[in-house]
Amino acid sequence: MSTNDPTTLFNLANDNSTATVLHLRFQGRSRDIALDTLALNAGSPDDDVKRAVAQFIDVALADFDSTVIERHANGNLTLRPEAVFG
Amino acid sequence: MTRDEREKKLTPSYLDPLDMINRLAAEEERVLSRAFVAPVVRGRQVSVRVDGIAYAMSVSDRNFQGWAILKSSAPNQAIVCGAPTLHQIKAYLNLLPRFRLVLLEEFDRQLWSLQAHTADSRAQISGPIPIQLAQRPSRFETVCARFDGTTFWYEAADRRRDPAVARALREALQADVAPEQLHVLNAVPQEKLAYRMLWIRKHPELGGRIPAAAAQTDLQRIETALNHAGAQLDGFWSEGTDQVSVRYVVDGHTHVSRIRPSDLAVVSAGICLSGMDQDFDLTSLVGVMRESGYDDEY
Repeated sequence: MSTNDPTTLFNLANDNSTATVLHLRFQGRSRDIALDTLALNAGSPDDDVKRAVAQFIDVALADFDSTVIERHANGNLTLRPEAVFG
Repeated sequence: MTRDEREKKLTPSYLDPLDMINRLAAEEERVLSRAFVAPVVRGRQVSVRVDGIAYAMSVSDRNFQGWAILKSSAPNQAIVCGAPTLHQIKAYLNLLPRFRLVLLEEFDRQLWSLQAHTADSRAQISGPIPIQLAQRPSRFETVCARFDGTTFWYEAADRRRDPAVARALREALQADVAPEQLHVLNAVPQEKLAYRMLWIRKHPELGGRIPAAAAQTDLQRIETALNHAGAQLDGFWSEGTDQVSVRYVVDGHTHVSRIRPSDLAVVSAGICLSGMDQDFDLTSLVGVMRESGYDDEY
């Protein structure tokens, strides 16, 4: 999706409730990024998701080695650190 | 009576087609030998209509753009002879129906706009409209344009519209006021729609999502964070000046965690995370709770 096209913007401005989002929790900071912006969808493989996010926030892909991706029923994704219990 | 004579008689006006073509050609030659006024868009052909028939001509100066006095120099070719007066331009535009448009901004060197009044039924337009030859355009300005059936030509700023509205919208966009928080006195729906479009364009990272205004309150921000991951807020209460406890439900299991409301970072997850609670925020904690497999903690 391009936000440099007036027709696309018009459609988005009229109805923007359907966009799915990736929530990123990384290095103590949080950020929401629309999946469209990352050229991803809810079914994109984990590797593709990590690669796209790493590129988007300009970090090395290896920085996401200890992270996990959660897929929610509403189509949203969350990329967060691995949890260590106990 | 011969067949030709019969057919001629059956023709209502008894017009000779050959005669018609000859007269049209003569009229075309007569008109095209004269100079004429037309708006020119760089790289595009100009149209001339003779007796209801449109002729397209290329302008020899391919870089020219603006109002011009043109003259036919060769078949389907015109040259710019000079600049028309304002009176001539006005006379041209007065032949066309007037529309009021709200200006957006340029996309790929083309200025776009929205129809200011959607109730106007003279043209079936629902989306953005390219407008040509605008002079000193400003975002959100309402202008008058004339429509020739294919192109909207800029005429003038709409003097009936208070320019303070467009100015306030520009200032709001400059200050990055989210559309849901926009309060500009006397702004009409199409101006607000134009604002939403340009605000979305300014924030490509959001992919067209407009955050709800109410998400600025702690309650809504917490709800939004939980809903992202499919959890529901059950309640929350203050724990001093900079912490709140949040009770929430994940897949039917209730949990309580303590967070910092300013950035929703976890202060205490409510389960043991090896002291790494602050690695997480409320949204990411929902998945951790699912993964933990712990039963209700509350």
